[in-house]
Amino acid sequence: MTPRVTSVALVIFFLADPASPGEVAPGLSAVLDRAVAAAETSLREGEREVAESFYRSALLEGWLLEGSLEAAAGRLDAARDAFRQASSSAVETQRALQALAVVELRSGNKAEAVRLLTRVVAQAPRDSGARLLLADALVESGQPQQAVQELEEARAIAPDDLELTFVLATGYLRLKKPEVAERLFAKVLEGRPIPQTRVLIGRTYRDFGEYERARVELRAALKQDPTVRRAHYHLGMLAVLDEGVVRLEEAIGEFQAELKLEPRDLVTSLRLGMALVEAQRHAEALPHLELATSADPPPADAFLYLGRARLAMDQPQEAVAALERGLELAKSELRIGSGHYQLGLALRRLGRHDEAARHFSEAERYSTERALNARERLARYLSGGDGDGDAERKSAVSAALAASPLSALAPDERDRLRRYVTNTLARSYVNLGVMHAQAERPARAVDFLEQAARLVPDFPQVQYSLGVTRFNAQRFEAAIEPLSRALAESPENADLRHMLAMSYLNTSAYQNAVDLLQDDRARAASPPLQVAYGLALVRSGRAQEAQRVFSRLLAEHGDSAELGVFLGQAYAQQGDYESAVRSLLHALELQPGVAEASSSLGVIYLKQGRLAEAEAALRAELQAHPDDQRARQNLANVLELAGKPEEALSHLRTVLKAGPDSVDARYLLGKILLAQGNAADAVIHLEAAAQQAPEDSNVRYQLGQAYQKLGRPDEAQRQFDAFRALKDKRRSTTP
Amino acid sequence: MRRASVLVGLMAVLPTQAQTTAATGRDVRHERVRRQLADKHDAEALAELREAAAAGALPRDLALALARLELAAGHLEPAEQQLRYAAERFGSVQALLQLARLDASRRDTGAALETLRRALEIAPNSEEVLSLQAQVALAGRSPVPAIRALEPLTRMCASVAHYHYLQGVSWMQLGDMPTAIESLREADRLEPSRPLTLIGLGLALNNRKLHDEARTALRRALELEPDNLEAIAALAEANAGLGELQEAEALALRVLERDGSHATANLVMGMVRMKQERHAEARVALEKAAEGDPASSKVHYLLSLACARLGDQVASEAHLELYKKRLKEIEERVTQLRNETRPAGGMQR
Repeated sequence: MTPRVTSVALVIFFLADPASPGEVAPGLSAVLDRAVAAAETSLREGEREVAESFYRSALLEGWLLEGSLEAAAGRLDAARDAFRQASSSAVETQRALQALAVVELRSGNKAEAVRLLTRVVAQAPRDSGARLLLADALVESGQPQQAVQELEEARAIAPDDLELTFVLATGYLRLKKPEVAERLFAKVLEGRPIPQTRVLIGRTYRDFGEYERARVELRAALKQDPTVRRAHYHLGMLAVLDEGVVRLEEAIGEFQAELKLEPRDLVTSLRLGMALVEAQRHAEALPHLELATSADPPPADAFLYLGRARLAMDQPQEAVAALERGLELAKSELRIGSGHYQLGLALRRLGRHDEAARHFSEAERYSTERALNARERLARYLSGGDGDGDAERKSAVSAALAASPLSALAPDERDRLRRYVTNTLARSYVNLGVMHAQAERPARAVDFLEQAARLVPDFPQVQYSLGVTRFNAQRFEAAIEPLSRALAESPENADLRHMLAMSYLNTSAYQNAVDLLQDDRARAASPPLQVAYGLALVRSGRAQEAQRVFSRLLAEHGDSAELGVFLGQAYAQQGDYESAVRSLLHALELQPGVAEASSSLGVIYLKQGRLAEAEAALRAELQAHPDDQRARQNLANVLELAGKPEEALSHLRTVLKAGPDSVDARYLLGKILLAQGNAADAVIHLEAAAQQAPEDSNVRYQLGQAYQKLGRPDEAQRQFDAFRALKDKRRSTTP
Repeated sequence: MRRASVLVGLMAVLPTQAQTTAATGRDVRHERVRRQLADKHDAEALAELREAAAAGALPRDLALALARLELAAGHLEPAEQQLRYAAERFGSVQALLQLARLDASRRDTGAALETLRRALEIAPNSEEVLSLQAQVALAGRSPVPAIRALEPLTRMCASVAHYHYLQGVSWMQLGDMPTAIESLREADRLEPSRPLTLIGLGLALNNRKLHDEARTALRRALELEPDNLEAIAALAEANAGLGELQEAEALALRVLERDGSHATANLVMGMVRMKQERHAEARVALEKAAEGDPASSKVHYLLSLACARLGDQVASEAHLELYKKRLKEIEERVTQLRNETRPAGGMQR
């Protein structure tokens, strides 16, 4: 018997806008803010369904923003979690799944990205952006033909979409169909007849090895506008890529022409510096390479070529410094091998032979590089890897990420925005939780409040709401932590103290309950609290004090049947069964059918092995109170012991119907079914019991037996091991 | 000039003295009725609200309160009038939900779904609206709108067994048994020992010829509800599928004693009689089964066999055609819906 504390009402949490990020990221959280504001307006109008809908929109927007912030910070796992949350927050899933797919692509999970995007496209076939992304994912996962197919379908839906047409042309280049690509590029040019379009097309041809077509487009761009940016640059790259050192001078000329248009272009400076080094014009290369090292992040090539130039100019000390920095930054094997080799040469020049030998040995590991001729080496250097710096080469994926305005925020601004979003999410979860609690759906309420507490454990009211809701859902063990935290925040809150005390009482932490209630001023005027205190005293081994409490209760409130029951239970707890039985029988005399008198007698008789009397007492309790599932459970225990398993099963099923979480019922049901040879059904109940009470060794033992009977020896062994471990643990903790 | 235009502006904004007095009188009455409602003096509140409504339009909360009280008093027409007013004037989703419930109680599934569609335009993520849509659609044997509501519900409220159960039933109604089994298993995992789920699971497993698993689920259902006719009939079907004809017949007869037109029990009798080569009796039983469940493809298949054995080629072919037609209908609906509603794996269960 647990004296109940009246449910404490929870209130919806309306907040003045907390730390709005407006000044940090204007507009970035506007949709989220609008959803929360609309939810709170609807709540004030009493339209709870509309409020819930807006709160769910707020969750969607909040998690999308949170995921984007994590992605922008490169924390892909956290981004994935956030987008998954977004995908289950509201009816809409498109944006969350697309974002999730982008994260999967960035994480290298190409097949998963394709799977997600295929679903997105199936649900929204007219979404050309999603198709574009799917095409990109297909390319990434080595399915260029399917990518083109996807793009063709997208283009059929949006024939005037120039971006789509451009990407489709690129897809055909990938499939080695430049004639088809050329026709599509012509359409793009028709739509945007500016020199920049030609540069873009030229560069794309270059990327796919169509050098002659690339040259034609780039020269046409320059003819259209001699000052157009990047045309000379790409022509220079083409000269190197196509013919290597043979057309080095031509490349140098093009890079120089580009620099005339934009003298501080770091990428062109780097390429010019590299080309000059390859052409043995080391002194001329130096200023360009020095300039290139100022890029953020600095490219490894700038330092590696600077090192080579310094070495060639007999400046080994400076060469060593530059090469060491270059090796720190380098990621590709090609560069690392070459860097070690050059560094070895520089160190040998300085007489540091041992160090030089180490670097030569490292370089040996990358010896393939030295087999390359100068043309190949330069072409490979320029065509990719570290510090390529070709920012224009973007897939739809990187474009999708780079397009986020979040990437433009400074790290501290992102942190502030993240805090704001997290708080807003917590607030939405709290209010959704409270709405469910008010609608008397405590389990659902707990789900939302737990989310809020996970996000922001110190969010106002969250621990309080969680504790109260878990308490009202009779999840006492889980209620203790949030109630303790809430009480620490509001030590004067008597309701909180009482709920916490009751939670302790219900989880056998009797001393804690005593500590909380002993100086409680409200206790003296509240019989239920007095009873709770008395029970806690009894169960923490302080029976004499308990009897004083109960006697005082009897004196103050008369010879009532209910108090007789409590007193009887208190005696029974002490093991004084004789007094207990006397008290309980007296209570029944005063009020036949008083709650828990007969069931308490039944339990005492059961402990004394008086099964027939126990059965009769428990049946009497159930006759008076058919909803007392505890009594029904005890009757099932008695019936099982008395060899009446069929009737026990029937009672246990009734217990489970009323409360499917009853571990005792599931355990006994499983045990009886197992004894009857029905191991398959027994496993269902025992697994459920083990899930809810993983520390119950008896459940583990029975589950092990059930697995064994079903011919699942490995699982059986795991359960027996768990059983033994739990037994050992209990032995070691029992004095 | 400037002052004059300000005054004109004010005149447009401020009510006249007479209007103010009337509004104040209304406000006092509204506050009084709100107090009555808070004190649960429903009879007084109802009388007061009727008078107030007769005098002029009510604000949202009082219109809804009046509707509630009229409904409680069994006066559907004035209740509906207030609800329609609240829905039109304030876009009240509460009013729309109530109207949909009234439509559904009149078995007007179409009207109820239309009202819920309007509610979803205002509150697309509302669990209550989606849940009602699913229930109304299922009750009207319209699985497609049910599934459209249940897909987001099972995603947003993944821990609620009931929604997975309803989803399973919807897929069953639609004829996609593998997906139904998936949903029902999830419902059973979340809330074990729920007879309805176990029966649904048994029926779906039977349909997939997984009779052994079906039998386990149905036995569990019967442990919880020993007299459930659906469970007994489905268990009979499982037994018949496993070739245990005696048990199947005994169970089917138990059901038919209490409900002679029970579709599944008649189907089982048909199956048993077919295996016993008592084709005429089989045909009679199967025709009863087809009457009880005209959407079943299996019944028509068996009927075509029975008719063929009896030499009635015309009827046999007719049933074969019906069987193929049912299968095609199922396939089309399933393909369309699978593309739309299959979870894309956002949240991991």
